[in-house]
Amino acid sequence: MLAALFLLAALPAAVSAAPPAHNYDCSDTTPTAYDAQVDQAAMGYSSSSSMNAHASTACSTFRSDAIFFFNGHGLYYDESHKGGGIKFSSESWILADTGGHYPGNDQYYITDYGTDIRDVLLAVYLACYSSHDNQYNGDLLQQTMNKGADICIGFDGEVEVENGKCWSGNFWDRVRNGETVASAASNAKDDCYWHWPIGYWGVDTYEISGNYNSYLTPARYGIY
Amino acid sequence: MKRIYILATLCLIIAVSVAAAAGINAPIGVDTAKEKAQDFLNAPDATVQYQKTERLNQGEYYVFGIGDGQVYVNAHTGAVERATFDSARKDSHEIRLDQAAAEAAARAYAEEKYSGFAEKSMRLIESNLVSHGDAGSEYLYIWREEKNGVLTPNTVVVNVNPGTGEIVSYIGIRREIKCPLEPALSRDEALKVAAGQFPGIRVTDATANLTVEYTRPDAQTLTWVITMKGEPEGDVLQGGLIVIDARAGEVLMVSPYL
Repeated sequence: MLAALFLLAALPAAVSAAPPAHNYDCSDTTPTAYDAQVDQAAMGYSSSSSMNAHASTACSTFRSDAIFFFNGHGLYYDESHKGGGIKFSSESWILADTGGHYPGNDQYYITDYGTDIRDVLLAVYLACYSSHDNQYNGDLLQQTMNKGADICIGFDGEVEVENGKCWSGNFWDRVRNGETVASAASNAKDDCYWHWPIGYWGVDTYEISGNYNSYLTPARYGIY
Repeated sequence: MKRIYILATLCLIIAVSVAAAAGINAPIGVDTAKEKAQDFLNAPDATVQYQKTERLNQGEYYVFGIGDGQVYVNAHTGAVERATFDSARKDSHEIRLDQAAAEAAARAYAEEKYSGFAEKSMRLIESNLVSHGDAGSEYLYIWREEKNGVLTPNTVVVNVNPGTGEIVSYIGIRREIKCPLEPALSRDEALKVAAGQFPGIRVTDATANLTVEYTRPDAQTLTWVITMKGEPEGDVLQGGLIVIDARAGEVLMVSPYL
């Protein structure tokens, strides 16, 4: 009897212990965040998705995340000044670093995290030039890794909505079906190639930092 | 009486033709496809595990797991149109192969695996060394058939490990061209339509290619595939990818840059 009561008491704790995953569609990219949420839930993550979130929300929830997925605009000021930032609603941005350029109305910086995001297993920034090192706003992948994330993915080229959706849908489906992060990223790009119009259209520029041969199952936090 | 014989013969010919056509379109079945996959791998005893059937606009595929990758067999022709070899990505951090050696390896593979590669007018439209950060690099080669200035869906993609020279992935699509290759819309007209999809854009760069695409299941369409870049606004790149039906003038896709 006592054991049964103990089990009942422990159940909510066990359920809530599923590592959280947050997914954001911040352009005309729906339903990629929701699709990612479904795949992550099937892998055992406590996942959620939202459209047009403010950067402050994403910045705050990032602290508790095992998985963070963003699909939206990346920072592009000019050819010599691109990358290092992702754009949320109301002209709010998450930027890698403070470095003399302040896009939009509100800026939040990865460098401002202490050890807050060291539990992150995987961060995916699906945006134009999201893995490009910007002399003013820094390098999103490098800063995220510096703060303790295990794996981070970005793109070093121009990516557009439709092929971004294609890559995302296939990437999450493939990791759910047991592929490593590196295999899923690569195979997802080939999944997009033969969809019309034929071509990679930038999804071949993906870059991975960290433990690229990891699986996302079993559901877990990153190692710190 | 003679007329009845002629009519009966005609009916027989039509019936046989319909049956033959139905036979051509019938799926080859998983077992035959499995043998095709093993032939492609040059390994008759290779473990090939059926995973799923996938229907895409350009065709229907039996997808097989091969331990360290996948093989996609066209369910109707039996041609292997895609293969990936995950273990071939190992040791791809150090660039030991130069461009020429990598291209030679890719071309040799394309000639071996893609029936009629040498005979078709295949144009190398992309050859790059692409970095994937900590996940290594790969040489990427893309050929597409060019007919009367039109890029057809006949394409070959070979990705090569720059450290070992191993083939990481392959795509090879071969189709008969069934749509007219003469556009009703000129390049300039198409670019004008494309610019209209991004009101206020200040265009800095644009490309336009006439291509045949499978925009619907089993249906080829002659299209203008356009990329249009504009001056950034609010720190966001403007423009994107636009696809226009080159004969009807209809805009089929507008996909802004992220």
